[in-house]
Amino acid sequence: MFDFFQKSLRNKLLLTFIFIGFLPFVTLLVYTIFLSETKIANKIINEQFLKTDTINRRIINKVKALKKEVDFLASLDVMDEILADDIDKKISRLLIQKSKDLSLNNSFIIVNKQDIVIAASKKKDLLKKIKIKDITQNKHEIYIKGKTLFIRNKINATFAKQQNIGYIMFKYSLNNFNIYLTNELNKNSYIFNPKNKLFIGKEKDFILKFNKDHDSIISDKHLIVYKKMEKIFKNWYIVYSVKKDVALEFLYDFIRFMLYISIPIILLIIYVSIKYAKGIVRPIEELTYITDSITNTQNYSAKLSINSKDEIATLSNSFNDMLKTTSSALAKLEEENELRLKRFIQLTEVFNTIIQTKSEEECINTSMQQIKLLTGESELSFVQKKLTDTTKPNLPLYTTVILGLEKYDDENEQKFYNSIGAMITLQLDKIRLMDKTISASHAKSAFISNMSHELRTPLNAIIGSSQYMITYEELSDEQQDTMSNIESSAHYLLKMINEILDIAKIEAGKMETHFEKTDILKLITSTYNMLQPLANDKSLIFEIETNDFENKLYDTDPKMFQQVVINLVSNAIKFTEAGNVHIKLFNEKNTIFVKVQDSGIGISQDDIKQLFNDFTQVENIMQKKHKGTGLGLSLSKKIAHLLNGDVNIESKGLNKGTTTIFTIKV
Amino acid sequence: MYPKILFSILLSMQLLQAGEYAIISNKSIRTLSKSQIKAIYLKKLTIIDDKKIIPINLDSRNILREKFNKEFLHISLTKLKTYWIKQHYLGHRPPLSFKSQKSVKKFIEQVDASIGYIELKNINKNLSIVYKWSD
Amino acid sequence: MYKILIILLLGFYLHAQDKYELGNGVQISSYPIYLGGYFSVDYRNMNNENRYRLDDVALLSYGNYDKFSYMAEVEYKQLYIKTYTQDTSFSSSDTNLYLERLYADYNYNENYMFRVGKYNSPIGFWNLLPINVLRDTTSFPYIIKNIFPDFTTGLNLSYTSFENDEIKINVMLQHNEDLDDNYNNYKIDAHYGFGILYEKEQYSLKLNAGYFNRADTQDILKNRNYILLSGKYETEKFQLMSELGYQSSKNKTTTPYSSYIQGSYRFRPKHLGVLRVESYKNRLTNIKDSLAIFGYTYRPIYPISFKSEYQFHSIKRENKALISLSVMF
Repeated sequence: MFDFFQKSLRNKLLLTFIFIGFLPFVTLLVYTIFLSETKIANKIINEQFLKTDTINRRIINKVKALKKEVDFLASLDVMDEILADDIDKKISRLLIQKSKDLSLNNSFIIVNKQDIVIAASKKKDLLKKIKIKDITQNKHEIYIKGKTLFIRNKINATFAKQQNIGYIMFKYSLNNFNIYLTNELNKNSYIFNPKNKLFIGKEKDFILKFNKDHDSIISDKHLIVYKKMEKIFKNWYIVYSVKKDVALEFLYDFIRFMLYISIPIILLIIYVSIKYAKGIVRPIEELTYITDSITNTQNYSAKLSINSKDEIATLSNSFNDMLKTTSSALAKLEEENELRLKRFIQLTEVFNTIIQTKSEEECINTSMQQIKLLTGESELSFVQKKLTDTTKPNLPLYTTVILGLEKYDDENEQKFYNSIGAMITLQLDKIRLMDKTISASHAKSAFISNMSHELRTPLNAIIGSSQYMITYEELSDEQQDTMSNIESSAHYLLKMINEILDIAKIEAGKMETHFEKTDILKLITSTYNMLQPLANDKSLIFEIETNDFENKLYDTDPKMFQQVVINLVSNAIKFTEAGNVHIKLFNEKNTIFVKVQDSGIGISQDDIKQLFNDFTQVENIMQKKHKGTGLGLSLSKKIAHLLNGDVNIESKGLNKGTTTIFTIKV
Repeated sequence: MYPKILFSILLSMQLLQAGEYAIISNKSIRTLSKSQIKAIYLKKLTIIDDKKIIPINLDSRNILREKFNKEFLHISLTKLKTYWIKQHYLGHRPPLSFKSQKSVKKFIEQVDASIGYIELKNINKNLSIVYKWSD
Repeated sequence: MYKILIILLLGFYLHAQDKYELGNGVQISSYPIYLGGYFSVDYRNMNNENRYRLDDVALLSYGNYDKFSYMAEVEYKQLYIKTYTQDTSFSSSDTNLYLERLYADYNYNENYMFRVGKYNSPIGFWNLLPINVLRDTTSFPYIIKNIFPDFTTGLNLSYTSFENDEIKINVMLQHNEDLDDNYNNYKIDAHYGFGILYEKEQYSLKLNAGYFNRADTQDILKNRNYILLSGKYETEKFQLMSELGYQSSKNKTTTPYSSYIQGSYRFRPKHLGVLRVESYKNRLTNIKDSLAIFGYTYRPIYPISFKSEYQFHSIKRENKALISLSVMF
């Protein structure tokens, strides 16, 4: 998977851009969706706590202000009228006015020392009997009972401040504090006393348990906050609730907005990223394309054209420079190469020419000529050195040719000329060797033909004579035997000489084959017939098998063919004391097989190897019994080679018979 | 408002007649001389019989007050106002004043060592006369 | 310290009062404290010099409890003065708060009163009501500032009798330095004086005599003796007042005489005309001057006064014109 990115810069860039584009957006989205609700809810709750604090403060301040009013009233000069039982109603009038000023739902009463209400803001309270003891029962001057706030103060005479003349008592309904509370669709606050279940304001329909001094509750519909009030309100709790969806309206709207806008933004980000990634990568791609095409077409004279001005352009300019350099270098190289090749060809031609020279003089002259042409040097010197290899004194002498200039340009040039010199030396040697070989060959041939004739002539005479003698009736048996011996020995010698001469001929390459259409079967059969008496003499089973042979005329030399077959079969009969000799003639593909199997003395594996060497006859028990020149197999093999074939021997071991196979390809 | 005017006219008519008036107290004060009363009402004299004496006036518009002023203080209302501003500088407060003789009576009944002035005919058994005058 | 006091008291003051009347002060709830105050601004033209002055800004508080009563007054004096001469002008400002009066009274019985603290020396008629808003002219008669110490810090015993007419005798005893002597005309560390006042109907007669020792100098004339005779006749619209004083030191007369006679007439309820003639001779400064002052006061209500006066002096350069505005709370 990472290959996808590793291999593509464009994809890397694309991914980077997308990542950079998405990251803030996604972060914001995640934050908004997952974290901000709680945060905003908490913020709102904090605000609500502040609001409850404000309400608390306002209420406490209002109570303080009311206390101040009461204190103020208590200190007025007019309060002295208490001592006159407020007959002139000055105090009452003041109280009524003050009561009206303050709000609805409040009342003042002034009680004198005789426990009589001598002034009141409400007519019905006037002249009631209220015990001062009852009024002063609560040791606090400000206290709440039920849903009424009570504020009292003692009134002293202005002329004698130490003399208490009565009490003022102010009752203020807590419902007056409704003005500090809100009761709207979305937010609501009220004050509640869990002890007596009284509340100020409009109670909401959720049920709260006031376990702590202050707490916040996030229900599914509301964000609720409650806080215990202070001082005289210490049993009361302010409850402030806000409708959750209204409070978080902004947040939800925002989230909705974010989600709506996320699609177009994502698309925009992707589009812009792709565009820019492509844009950045395009020059690189162009660069790659051009370099590829240059590599493919090997056209180093091409140029890159890049439109941008940035680092890619710099790169392409450098690349262009490099191309130019490479191109010119290659061109130069090619030039040099061609030049070298030409030189090389020339040199080879020179050598060719030199090699073909047949005499020393021709060789040297041609060499110098050619070299002069090749190198353009006119100042060559030619030194012949005679080398004597003292370790082999019978070997011909070689001369070394050293080619040299008056002066050399460099070592390589010297080496060059030295090599040429060596080459020429070799050629000269070769020429001399060839001359020698040819003359040797000539000598050999001459000898062979001479010998052939010289050897045969006396032998034939011997044979003729002996044959005449044999037919002479006046000979004794012993004399006849001796004559037979002489004849057979002469035959044998002739045979051997023929064989040797044949071998020599073959060796000298003078044996010529005469290929003609031959009836191989007839040949084999006649051979069989010819050798049958030999086999019969030894009482051997002598068989021939020709079933698998395609009898047709084949191109081969019949004489030589027969020679080989005769040799093989006669060997088989010779080396088999008892048993059988089997001849099989067959062909396989384009090869003719003549397989001669015998159950004779066999040959060991080691000896097989040596068998085809000239003059080898395996030393065996039969040796004395057998006479042979030992050239038979070797000659057969060489003749077989001339006929495009081969002779092979197999044996399973001593006394296990032998199989000779004569194959020729037709 | 009209009943008030009517009432005060009636009252003044009443008082226009020759009448007897008294400086009263609630039996806690012995008789006083004119100059003493003047001094008391000008807050120059504040202790009588070892008691802090509290003079009570009627409202400035009250006719009896005028009579009282004429009888004892010999200072016009405006001058009196000036006097009390000066006294304010010296740290003295003017006497309390009440609207009706009834309230004066009630007050004096209830407060020891307080004196005030009413029409003699309004006196009751709880009150004692400190000084009597008529015009 | 005084400043804190003033702020506190002002705080109480601003605690508004129903039916507040200027000049009557306010009561502080259930405490035996009444608050008041006053200020004055004046203008003087003398010798081509114009002087504008915010002179007194004072706060006073008093109260009584049973037989005791007290008075405390703090004041800024000469809070801001700007003087313009022909070519230049200079200003000065004294933002120090001074203790003007601080005393406690004990009314022993009908007759006897005992006072301790710093108080206006009850000498003559002017010195008892020395503030601008309560006096008849912007200027003081010479006698007030040059015969006796305006403030005494110490004890005061008074005997008053109201039998027929008022007789008051008081004795001043100071055997210590002044309490905040900055604006005492004489800085003294001893003052023994007595006074006798007799009032009957419209007449008042007063005699004062005493001895005081100046604390701000070491010269031989630091001991002073004085004697003052004052008389007043007052009716509804008219007042006539006169005082004559004498001061000496160790058998050497410092002021052989200083006297004035002043008549004032209220020709309208709110309008007052004043004429005062003074004459004095001071051996120490060798100045002898006689002057006539024509003054006019307008009081829309008594606690607010606009005063104007012109002084003609025998010493011409002392001629001056004075205008002032003062208010009492």
